[in-house]
Amino acid sequence: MPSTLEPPELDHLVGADRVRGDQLNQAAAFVTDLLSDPGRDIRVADGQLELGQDVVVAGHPDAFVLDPVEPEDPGVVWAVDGGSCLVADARSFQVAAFRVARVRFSAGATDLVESPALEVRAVSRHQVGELAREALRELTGAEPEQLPELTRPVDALRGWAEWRATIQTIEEAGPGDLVLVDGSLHGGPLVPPAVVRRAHQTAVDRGVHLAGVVKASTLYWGRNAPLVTLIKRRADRELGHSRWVARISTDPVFARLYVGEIFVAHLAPTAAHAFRVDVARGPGEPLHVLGRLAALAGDPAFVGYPYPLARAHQAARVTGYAVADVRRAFREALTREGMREDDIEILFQDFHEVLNRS
Amino acid sequence: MTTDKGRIFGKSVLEAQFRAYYGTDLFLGELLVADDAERDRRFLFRAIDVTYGSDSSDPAWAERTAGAYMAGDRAEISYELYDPEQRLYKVAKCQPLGYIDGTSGAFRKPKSLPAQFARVTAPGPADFAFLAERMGDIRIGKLRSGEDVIDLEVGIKGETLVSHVGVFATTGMGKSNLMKVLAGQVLASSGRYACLLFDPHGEYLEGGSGLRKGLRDHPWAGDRLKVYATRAAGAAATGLRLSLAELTLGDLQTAYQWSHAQEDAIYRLIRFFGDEWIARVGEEDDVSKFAEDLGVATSTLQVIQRRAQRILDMPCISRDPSQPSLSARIVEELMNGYSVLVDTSGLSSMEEILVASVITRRVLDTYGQIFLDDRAGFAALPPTLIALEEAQRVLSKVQRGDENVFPRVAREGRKFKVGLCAVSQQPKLIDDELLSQFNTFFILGLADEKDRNMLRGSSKQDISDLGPEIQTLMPGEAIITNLEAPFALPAQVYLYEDHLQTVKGPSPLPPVPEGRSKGFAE
Repeated sequence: MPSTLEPPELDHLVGADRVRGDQLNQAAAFVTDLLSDPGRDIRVADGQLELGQDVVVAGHPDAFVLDPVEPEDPGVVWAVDGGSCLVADARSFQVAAFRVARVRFSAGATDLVESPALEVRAVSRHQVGELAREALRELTGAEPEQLPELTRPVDALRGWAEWRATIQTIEEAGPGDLVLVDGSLHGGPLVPPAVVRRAHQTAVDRGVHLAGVVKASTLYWGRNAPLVTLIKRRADRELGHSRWVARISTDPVFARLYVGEIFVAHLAPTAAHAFRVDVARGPGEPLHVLGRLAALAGDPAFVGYPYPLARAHQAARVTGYAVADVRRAFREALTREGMREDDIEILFQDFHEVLNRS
Repeated sequence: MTTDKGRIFGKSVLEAQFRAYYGTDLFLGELLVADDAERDRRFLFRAIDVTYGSDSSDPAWAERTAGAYMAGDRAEISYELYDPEQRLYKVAKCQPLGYIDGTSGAFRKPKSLPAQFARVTAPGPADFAFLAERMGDIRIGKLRSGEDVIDLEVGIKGETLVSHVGVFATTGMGKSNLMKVLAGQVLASSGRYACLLFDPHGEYLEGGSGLRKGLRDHPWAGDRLKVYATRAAGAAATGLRLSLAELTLGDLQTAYQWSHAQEDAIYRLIRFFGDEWIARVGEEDDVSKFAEDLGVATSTLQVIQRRAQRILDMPCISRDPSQPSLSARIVEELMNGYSVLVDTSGLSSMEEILVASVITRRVLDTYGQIFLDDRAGFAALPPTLIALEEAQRVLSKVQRGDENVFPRVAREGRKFKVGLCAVSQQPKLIDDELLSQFNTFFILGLADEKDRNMLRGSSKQDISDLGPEIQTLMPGEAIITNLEAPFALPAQVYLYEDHLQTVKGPSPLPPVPEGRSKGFAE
């Protein structure tokens, strides 16, 4: 009797493994199709504009104006970034370590680097709510109306600490200083909009410029084609080696919902990457802020990326060696607390590792 | 100015590595000190290599960054690396030289690790105080650290001149200057030491071109220098005229290559004509008949005759057998603590070797005879150094024959207080067995790796890591190795003309007391 099932496609041998049928080629075709026909609207991922869903506005990557940007005297620039790692994961609770680093760039050199000691927190599922409440109360100065869902507490701990440090930096900065944060000027799902509003208001009150530079943008085009990549590709084609910015937040909806303007910026002529840059509305024109960033994007080790943020990233990062050291020290601390080595092994071992090693 | 250079982070007893500040200028051969407070020791190092370092954990970081710079260059955009002093540094590989024990002040060879992360600083003169007593009385310059000069005179002990000295450098690196300084020090020793200097270009005597000065300008030249020259070399010079009778077969064998047949023929000539054989064969009109009479081939005798005629035609050779021996006179002067400069400019290479061989043989034989016959007289002999340019001509393996006097000096001279100073641009051509007899090397810039390798094998100090340093030595910069020095010493050789300004001449006679008769002139 003939089978009603489709005949199985032939698997492809890839190295020492196999890939089902023609799925590699299908995936590649999806990508090329996406880039050649991205769609007709911009999508800002949900939660970014204080809405519970994606914001979608009309537009096409070829329609954005590419404005030249010239480097300006960067003045005093602060940068804030965080780093974190998971020290131990027992599924029902985690032990996380994090730090937030700050640097200050002034008169052509970094004159301040703060790379504090790692903070270590043990967080269980039932504790995490109280932890969030306490952190957000401190950040906003009021009882939080709603607590975010914390699937990865380590990210929340780092994110809250980053915004705490951002607000502190804005308060310490002088008028005209520029404060840079790693990421966009929305807090994301873990940081309530009130925190960002407070930071923004403080910056406005003190005459401080505030901007965020996003290494991995969630701006999408139409059928989820990455907007930054598309604009960079177009600019390379049309302008060659140059500095340019494209204002994305042209739709009036942004002005109503967002603290600043959203740009895609190519800050150094030969940079391989463009970045989403959010410039908070404040004491000056966004283009001047972008000019200051362009002046800081000429370090050959980080071409196109504002140097103070790169330094802050380096000061904050928890290297692989540091992770190993903290994990070992934590196990020793457990031993000192009377825990047996076998119990430590059982508690923190991920059975996936056992399977993968076998 | 800070002397702080960095901190040690590795690596072993045999090799130290330290991280230096971005702005620290490090040079090959630079001397450095690391303080080990725990054990009260100060470790001495020499930089043998310097590399780049950065705080990036990405091994390709520097390469990528260079690429970013180049991309900017192509687009005519000037990128700037921010905070280089915070992100970049240097890593110096160092050869441990030893350590100074804080309690005893004694210098010890490197057999233990300095404290890890010990602070590295530039040394001061006090760090080399232990060297002062080892530096001897023949001072040729000052201790050098990289391109800096440390205020400590360096040199060798005069007694070690007889254990032979090698001066090696390519052209223009300062051989002649060093030789003048060295010979000047011997002159200034007031007869404690003596030297016999063969000067093929006249530059030792007169200083060569331009404003250079020579040994005749030395304050002690009037008292202690005797000059012999084949050409007019001023009133103080004596004409160089050796008697034909002073030439031995060994001298001829040193100066010329002879076949066995030619040597046999010469033996026959000597048997028949004694001391006059050269004149006899040189003046023979009928060579064929003469060859037949001697029982040798005509072609063999023709070669001997041509060479004999050239010797007879040499302006420095006298046929008069009654002429007093010039070589004996020179030896006498050396024995009395004079230094003798033999200006051989104008002679061919072979002729120069012939002259040098005659005189050197006389020195060695005379000193050797005194050693055997007169121990008290021998004790009074000044250690005597015989200096020869392009010494590879007489010290190569090819020239190793028993009759060659120069290898004999290298092997036996020490016993008789006769040292050889071999000056050469090509030490690789010198017989390594002979080179190993040389206890002191003055190594100036040597570009050829084979030359450096040859010296590496014979040096009395380990210079195996110093290849790049030797290669990059500037004119006047030297490395001294000998048994007295605790390590291969980097030196800045005095510029002879400057050095002369500091040399005190012989003390003048005390003034005649007032009222005393002025003697004959009165």
